[in-house]
Amino acid sequence: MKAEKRYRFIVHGVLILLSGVFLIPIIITVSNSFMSPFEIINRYSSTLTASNSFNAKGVMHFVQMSLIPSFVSFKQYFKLLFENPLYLGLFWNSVKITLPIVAGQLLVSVPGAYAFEQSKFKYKEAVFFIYIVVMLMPLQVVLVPNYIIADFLQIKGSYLAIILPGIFSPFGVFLIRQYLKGMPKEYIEAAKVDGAGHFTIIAQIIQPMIKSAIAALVILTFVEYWNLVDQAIVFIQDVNAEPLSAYLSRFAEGGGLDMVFAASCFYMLPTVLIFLYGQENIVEGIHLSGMK
Amino acid sequence: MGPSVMTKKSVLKKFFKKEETVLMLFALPGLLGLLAFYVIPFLISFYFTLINNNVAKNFVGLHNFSELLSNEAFLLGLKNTAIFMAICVPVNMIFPLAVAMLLNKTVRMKSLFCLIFLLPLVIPSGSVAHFWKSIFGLNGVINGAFFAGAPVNWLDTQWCRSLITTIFIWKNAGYNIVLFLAGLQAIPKEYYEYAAVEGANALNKFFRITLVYIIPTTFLVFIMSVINSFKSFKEIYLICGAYPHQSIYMLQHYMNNQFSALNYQKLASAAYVLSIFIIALVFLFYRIQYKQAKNF
Repeated sequence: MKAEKRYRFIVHGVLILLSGVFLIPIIITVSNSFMSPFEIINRYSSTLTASNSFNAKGVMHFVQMSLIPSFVSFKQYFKLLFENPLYLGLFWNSVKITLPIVAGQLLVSVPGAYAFEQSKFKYKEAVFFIYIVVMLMPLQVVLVPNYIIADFLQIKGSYLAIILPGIFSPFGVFLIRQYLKGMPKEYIEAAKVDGAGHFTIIAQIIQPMIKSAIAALVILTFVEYWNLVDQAIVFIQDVNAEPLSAYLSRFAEGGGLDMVFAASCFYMLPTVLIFLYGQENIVEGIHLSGMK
Repeated sequence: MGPSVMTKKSVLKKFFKKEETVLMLFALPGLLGLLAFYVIPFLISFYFTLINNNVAKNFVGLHNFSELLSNEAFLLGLKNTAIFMAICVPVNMIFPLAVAMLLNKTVRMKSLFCLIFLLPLVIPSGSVAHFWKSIFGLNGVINGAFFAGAPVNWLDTQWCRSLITTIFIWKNAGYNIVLFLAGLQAIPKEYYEYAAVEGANALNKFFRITLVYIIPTTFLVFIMSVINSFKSFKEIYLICGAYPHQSIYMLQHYMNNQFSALNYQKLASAAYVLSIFIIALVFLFYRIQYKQAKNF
């Protein structure tokens, strides 16, 4: 029994250590967002300044990373939100791209998945196969048809070129259908016997039962498009129209070094909140899409 | 509904007919969108692979493909993407499996650990880009600690591939950990108990029970890892910039150049080559899995 205990202790130790390693980039980013802009410049600038040269080695100043700020300050956030209009503009661009996609995915996926699950159409699996093939294709491939159709519709420069393919991405239908497959058919049959129509069935039976599926879809879609980079490079030429996800990495070079951590944190906040709020759903969503 | 059997039947028949119509209407918007934005333009783009350019539109057969397959930039991108995948996919399977097995041994805090490992997945790549640059960049922590005399930007050396892989695993391992954990938890505990009674050691149990029973999960994890490995471009672009070291010049870099040059011929050919590559890979693995499943 003693060996068992020690074994368990080691397992937990390894896991805690690993969790620490996984969390460090996030923790540092968060804690450093509470440093004053002055402290950030001192710690992160490569050029020597009057106040950081004491720990310079050779010709350049190296990053002095620290978990804890010397002084806790909200100045980074203040600068970011009230003194630099570019930042909020780019943040708003991300919102304008992501929210329509999430809403559209839901509207298209839930009825679509329901239809695929309920239909007795002979070739429905063959049609569904198209969804799976498209889903397996990497972004590098699907961007080409996305681009061609955007060019044809003359929406290449607008967010629609990103939003419309996002709405019709096959992932939602696939995920929701996986959930529906695991649902007992009796409920739907019973409702049908009672004379309920499809709208009633979706609204009263399906929707409450697949709440967690919907939550998982919302979270996964939101996270995916909140982090979009590739499409922005292809479709958006104007820097001011870029989503922040694509610009964030150039923030420091663009004169925003003193508030880069606050910008990073502020941008991750929506996804982290949504993740913590729907944590069980996302785990369940991944489980279920894995269980088949 | 009418009292006689006949009318009841015909009403039911009508109902079913109507039911199918309603269902079709449900599926139609999504299906049309999928066809319009993905399938049809992709099929049409095959035409672009067969012509010389968008103005003259002369038929050139497979010339675009042969040119593509001798294009150095494309081949470099293809090679790097394949190498990245060959490293990333196994690592992104073995490491999560190991973590999932550890998690499966713990009693408490399973879901807390899962959450922690999943957290990087939801963090936008750009949000931690500056952290990674501060570690590996020219004036980064690594140089400050060990190479202050002759600092190197590690993100611009042959090391960048390993660094990007590490960052990629950091971000994507959680997904596979959760999948593997689900697979492991589905194995009945009795199997291990019988095996213990029969005198099997840990290694035996792992190869004879664990590995065998998580094959369906492994199949899924493999597919997801292959798909996800293409997403590495995001990390590369955000951390190493638009013009990275040539060992991480990916297919997407090549494609981006063709997008900005509006070269439909090269874009379409590359998309076709890539999709054939993916389909072949998935098909191959599906066959292997099918054969494995038959052995039960």
